[in-house]
Amino acid sequence: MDYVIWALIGTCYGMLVGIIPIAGVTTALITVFSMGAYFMADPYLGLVFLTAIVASCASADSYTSILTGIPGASTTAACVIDGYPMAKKGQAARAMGIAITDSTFNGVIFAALTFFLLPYYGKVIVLFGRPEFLGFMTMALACVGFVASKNVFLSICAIIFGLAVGMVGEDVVSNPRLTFGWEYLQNGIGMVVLLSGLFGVPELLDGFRKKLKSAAPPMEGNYYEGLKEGFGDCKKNWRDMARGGIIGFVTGLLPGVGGAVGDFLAYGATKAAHKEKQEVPFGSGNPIGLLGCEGANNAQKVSSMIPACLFGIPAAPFAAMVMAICMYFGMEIGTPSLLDDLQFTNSLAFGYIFGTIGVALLSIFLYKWILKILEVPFWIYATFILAVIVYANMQYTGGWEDLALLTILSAIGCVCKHFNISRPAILVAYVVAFKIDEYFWGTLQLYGYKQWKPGLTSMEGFRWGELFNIYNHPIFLVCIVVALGIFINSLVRKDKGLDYT
Amino acid sequence: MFKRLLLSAILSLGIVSSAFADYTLIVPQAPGKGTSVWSEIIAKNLEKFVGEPVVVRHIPGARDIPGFNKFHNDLRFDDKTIMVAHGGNGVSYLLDKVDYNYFDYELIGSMNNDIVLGKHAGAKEKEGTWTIAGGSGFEPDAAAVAMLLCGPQGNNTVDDYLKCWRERVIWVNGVSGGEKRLGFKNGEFDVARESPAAWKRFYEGIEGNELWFTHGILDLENNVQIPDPNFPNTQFEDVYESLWGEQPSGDLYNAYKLTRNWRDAIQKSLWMNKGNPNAAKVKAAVTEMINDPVASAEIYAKTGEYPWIQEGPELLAALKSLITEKALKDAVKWNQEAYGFPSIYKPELLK
Repeated sequence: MDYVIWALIGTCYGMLVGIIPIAGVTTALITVFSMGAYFMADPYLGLVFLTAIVASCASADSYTSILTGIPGASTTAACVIDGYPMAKKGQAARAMGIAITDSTFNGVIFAALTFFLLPYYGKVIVLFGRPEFLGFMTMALACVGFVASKNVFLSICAIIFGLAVGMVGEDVVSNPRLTFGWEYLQNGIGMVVLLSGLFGVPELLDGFRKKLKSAAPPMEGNYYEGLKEGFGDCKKNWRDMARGGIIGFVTGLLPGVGGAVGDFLAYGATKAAHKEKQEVPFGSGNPIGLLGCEGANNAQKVSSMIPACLFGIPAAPFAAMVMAICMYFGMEIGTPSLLDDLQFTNSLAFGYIFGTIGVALLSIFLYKWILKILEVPFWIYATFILAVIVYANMQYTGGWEDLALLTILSAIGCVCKHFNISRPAILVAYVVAFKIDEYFWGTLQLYGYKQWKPGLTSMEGFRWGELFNIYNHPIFLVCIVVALGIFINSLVRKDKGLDYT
Repeated sequence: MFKRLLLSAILSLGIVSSAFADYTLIVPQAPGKGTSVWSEIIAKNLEKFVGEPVVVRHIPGARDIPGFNKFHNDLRFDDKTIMVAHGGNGVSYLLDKVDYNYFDYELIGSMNNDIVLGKHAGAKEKEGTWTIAGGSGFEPDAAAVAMLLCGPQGNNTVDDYLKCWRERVIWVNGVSGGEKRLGFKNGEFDVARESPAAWKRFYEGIEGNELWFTHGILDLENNVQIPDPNFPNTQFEDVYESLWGEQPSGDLYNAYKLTRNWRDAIQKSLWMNKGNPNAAKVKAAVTEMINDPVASAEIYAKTGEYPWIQEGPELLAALKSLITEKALKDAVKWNQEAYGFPSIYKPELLK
């Protein structure tokens, strides 16, 4: 019963934050960080709560995009293109019908596919040793830097900064590194403060700067009739809906690449698949445009959890936050043994599916209240969110240092947002940095590098041939070749990839 | 915009500052690590018996030293501050540059704990090269592994064992707990090292795993190490004797005993400043908590069922008796040259 109650609380809370313009899943999770300790006695309960938040917030984000024209989060920005014009034409209920059906369909299908099969993906992980992890991390780093941003220079800046932040703390034999004499930094920079600074605070400040007003346009006709029409659109165009889900799922697997990229790719693919003349042109309130991209967001949220669970690499900021909170109540996501734990995968699946279906039902019956929430001035709920973000960050040490670091990172986040420096690239470089360091030295030591005492090292007898042997380490070598390929491709490509800043 | 932003910031800080409370457990680790989780469980249970709110404050840092230093230099003078220390702090007290000093504090309670070492079933200690994943807190475990793999060596000096160690062991630094488990599972590493609760959760009953040895626990009354009641017939000395036909002895063994007891006898411990007026009250509350079946069940679920020690002077005297110049110097040398750790010899510990 506790599981159902917490799944319901998570669903309601995720929906509430999702409805608030600009505040997405990551913000919702930052604000519940300080609840981590509550779930220490039953971490699975916490997992259900968190995944229910993720699922419901992902869906509710879309409703805001459609009803107000302001993205509920960057990951639902593509829904604005056709969703908001539909609302402006008085077809808000029909657009909501599409959003509810599409989110539920893709959310449930991909959650079931992902979480119930997670133990089987886990069989792959046993093939990974130090060299394989090193190769995979190198590949992840190459992906995020050169696929995630158009501007190679800014991408490199983002990666270098992310790597530097990730290296702050201690080296593998516990010597302080990049702490600039500040003892507080000796344990590294935490995920929560980095996410709050890079994403949470800058988005809220942006809302203040834009003086957000988010009332929805008036709706015409009967609400339930409109919803029904939306459901009918989805039934008729299920292929577009499924395509969007598949694209979202695949992009969600790539570290740092998911998010808005999945939505826009899905939207682009829908347009490309409907070259015939449309009754309502794309961009002017075409229901097919909306249903082609809407579910990508939900599928992406699910697949972003796969690299997190398998390798401890969060493919999106929200997944990083889930990992950070779980760490708080003693569950280390990315620990291979968790994949054999049925209760772990069942909790993920239950929370996500409950959240997806729950938010759909709530949205159908609480539509009027959603509109009321959208009428609340931005500064009121932004104040609440800001307070919770500050509180969550002060759970670390409770000292002034927490606030100082949050302020510094928030300033950096604002600069990055202003100059379009890829913040996801910073995040993934940060996560990968520590792991690359660990796997690099681990691989060296495994193959003959010796450190007898501080300052006295030896590479004598290092087994190069054994390490770079295709029969010993095919995964390692393939990853290194792919990473090199991505790097070279990024230098010679004309379109310079997608922009995700 | 700025007026609203300012108002928002003031309100935020107002909400935050109203959320701090009374007794504070200082934890020298980031949230989520073993001792942090233990502290949260203790805080939740202790407040029922102490009758006031108990909150956890994390002060993490390199090798978990800065938090304890801050307690020593500043926070211990607050009457409601309790330090949570773990075994790694005990080893750092011997081998690293630290400010803190256990002899300045009053023991509120310490869990007298153990560590379990495993190997692949059927692996022969006397044969081949062994790959071991290292990490902080591993010092006594790896020293014991060295003795088991190498057996009696010349005069059993640290140099004798270092020679054997370099021939027989590949030491990999900086491997996290989860990856150690994966590495052991896929054969990359030959030794598993876990807390008793984690051993039961991740290894026990799984084919291919073999409990190799445990360190036993301290019998404070007689100041001797006795077998771990949770894992009978697995104590290091007995496993060594059955393998090599004699009890372990020599310099490395003495260094091992020193770091083992300074780690395990205070593996999870609570301290308050000497002369703190609330110490007796908190100590009594801890006694009640230990004797409460619900609270203790929650704690033991995390750590395994191990006895508590609350006799501070006796415990510190027992630990102090292990500190000799030779043992300390040997422990430093072993740490530096076997693991590459930046340990230092501190003659002031002999005073």
